[in-house]
Amino acid sequence: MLLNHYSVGLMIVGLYGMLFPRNFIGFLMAIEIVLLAITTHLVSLGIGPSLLGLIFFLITLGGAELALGLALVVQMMKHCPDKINFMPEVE
Amino acid sequence: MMSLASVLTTSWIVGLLASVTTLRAQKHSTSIEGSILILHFGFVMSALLLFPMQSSDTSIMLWHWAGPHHLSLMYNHVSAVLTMLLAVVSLCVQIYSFGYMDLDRRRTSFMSLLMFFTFMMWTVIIAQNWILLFIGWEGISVSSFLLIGFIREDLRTEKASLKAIVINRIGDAALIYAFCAIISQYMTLDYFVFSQQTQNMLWQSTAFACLVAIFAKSAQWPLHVWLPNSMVAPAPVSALLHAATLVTAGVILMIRLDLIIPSDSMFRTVVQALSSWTILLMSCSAYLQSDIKKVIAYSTIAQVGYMCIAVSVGATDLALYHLWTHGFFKAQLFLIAGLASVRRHHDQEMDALKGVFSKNWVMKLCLFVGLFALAGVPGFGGFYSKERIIEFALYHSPEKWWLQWSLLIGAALTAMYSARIGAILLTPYPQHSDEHHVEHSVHEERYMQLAIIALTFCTLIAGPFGELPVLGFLNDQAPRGVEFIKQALSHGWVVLFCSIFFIIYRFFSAFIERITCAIEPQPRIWQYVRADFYFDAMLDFIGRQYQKIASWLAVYESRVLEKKVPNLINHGCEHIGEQIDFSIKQAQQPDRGVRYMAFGVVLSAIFLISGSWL
Repeated sequence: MLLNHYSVGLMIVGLYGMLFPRNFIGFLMAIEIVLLAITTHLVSLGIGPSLLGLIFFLITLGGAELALGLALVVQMMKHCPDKINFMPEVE
Repeated sequence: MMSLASVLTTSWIVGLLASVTTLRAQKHSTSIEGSILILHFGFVMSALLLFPMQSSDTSIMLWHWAGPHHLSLMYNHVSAVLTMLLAVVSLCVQIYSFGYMDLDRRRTSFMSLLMFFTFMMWTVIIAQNWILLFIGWEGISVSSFLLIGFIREDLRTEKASLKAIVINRIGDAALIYAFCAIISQYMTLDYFVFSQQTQNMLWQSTAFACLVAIFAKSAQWPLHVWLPNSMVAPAPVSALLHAATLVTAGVILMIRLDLIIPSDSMFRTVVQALSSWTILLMSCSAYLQSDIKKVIAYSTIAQVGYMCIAVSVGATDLALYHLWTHGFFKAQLFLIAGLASVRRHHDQEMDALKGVFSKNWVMKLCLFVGLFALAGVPGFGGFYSKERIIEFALYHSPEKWWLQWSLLIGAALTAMYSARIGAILLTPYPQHSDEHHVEHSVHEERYMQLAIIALTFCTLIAGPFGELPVLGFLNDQAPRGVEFIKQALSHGWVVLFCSIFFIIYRFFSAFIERITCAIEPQPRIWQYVRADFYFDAMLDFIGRQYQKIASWLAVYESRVLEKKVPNLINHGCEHIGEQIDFSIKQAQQPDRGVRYMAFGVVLSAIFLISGSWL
């Protein structure tokens, strides 16, 4: 039950980061947190043969997403560094 | 059966490989464009081969994935009809793109994206497992985003593409929720498995989540704003988007869900109410638009409303039939609008397009065929499908007068704006003809006209000859041929009368309008309707408020959470450390040290004794 609550907390933090991102890297981190929340929730449900595949899939998806996201960040830094920050007026 | 499996699987894998490899093409390469065309031609051939094999549902498993789920393709009568439509329309659009994008240096890239779009839509059509459907669903969203924003020089395309993808994301979130609910209810995402469980109907909440996804994709009110905005995209994209791909994906999902939604559920009533409202609003907006592509775009939203109503009243086969006829004539109309705007230096305003086909009788004829099919004139595509939907609703939902009236008024308005397009485009105004430009574009127009003529032919045969393959396999009891026309004439005379009357009225009023030059000043209500009832402006307002909240939160974060909270923790830690340090120093004093030690020994003894009792 505790793990379940923990995953809900993680999901709230991740969704907050996704809905109100301040920069691109923060947005990527928020997506990672959401994926982690889903994985934790699946673990809290109990790992069976049907869930194990999904958990591994999610971990792989997280890795792939991060790799793609960071590649995008590198390209954005090269071509349009001013667009990395979504809210320059706050900084 | 083996041949069907091999043709379907091979086509899908070839499509996947081809679309992925050609996406890498960046430079103008005739060989790649030729390959794309050949592949599309192959796709049409596959569709033709597969078309007769639709008598039974066929399932082909591609591979196992994540436990009990596996990715599979399916082929049935719905897939066959839609594959045929998609193959023909996308081939014509590709041929048209040869001419339309002739001078564009990124033409190869454009054609690759069109191919990717087509492939993803085909995945949606033939996906059996809903995970594969979701992959296709996302694929068409992404490729539409790239295609709408293809002209990078224009800032409007960037905004339109962003609007399209953001509204589609709302639908996607709802679809993901629906997937989770379907897994919870049926323990599978396999369409063949859960669609057969008619005794275990879909939960109401799941149905409404699917409704959000359908309305976002099919651009129904209130999630329609992205579609008229996306008219800044090149004409081939609009044609593919409206006729056979993006907006029809929602209707396909609805047709698939029909079996597991109760016939008396609130879902169906809500769909009927929203779609009726959509038909009325969008038909009014279409009538008053000045941009030709926007007129056709609003018309698409209204026609998709007819399809949604057809599914909701239980006439799934008629929805599919309307999808089939509408696909051909709408693609044809968009391609004609594109050709007209090319002749006027890409100006899409109707006033600028007056007399654009004054010397081209072939295009005049094609335009007439397309507009007559849209208006539902007897003998043309729209008559066979749309009028029958109205007839079905009239006789199967007699208590819902609002539904009947919205369908009838929508049909009359369709005839009116169709006639308006015809009246304006066919007005002979010689001062607008730009001979130099027409001569310059003879080379590029060759392909464009070829595609339009091919689609006109399809529009002509889709209605009268399409009912047998489309309706015949779905409902063997359906009347066919002359019998059907007789029945429609006897029952749907009101709509028929409305269509013909309004066409005559509109041509007459256009003639009067031309004599009196213009109606000035325009009533304020017209401006309100033309601006899409300020719905777009309202969404922009909501977006701005959201942005304000986000910046307020960001300021709060940067000033409070990022500065004060760490300082507070820092000071707190310092204070605790000081307290511990003080306590240790106190304990190190000889008299207090003995007292602390004695207290510790007593506490340990109590702890040990209590433990032994327990």
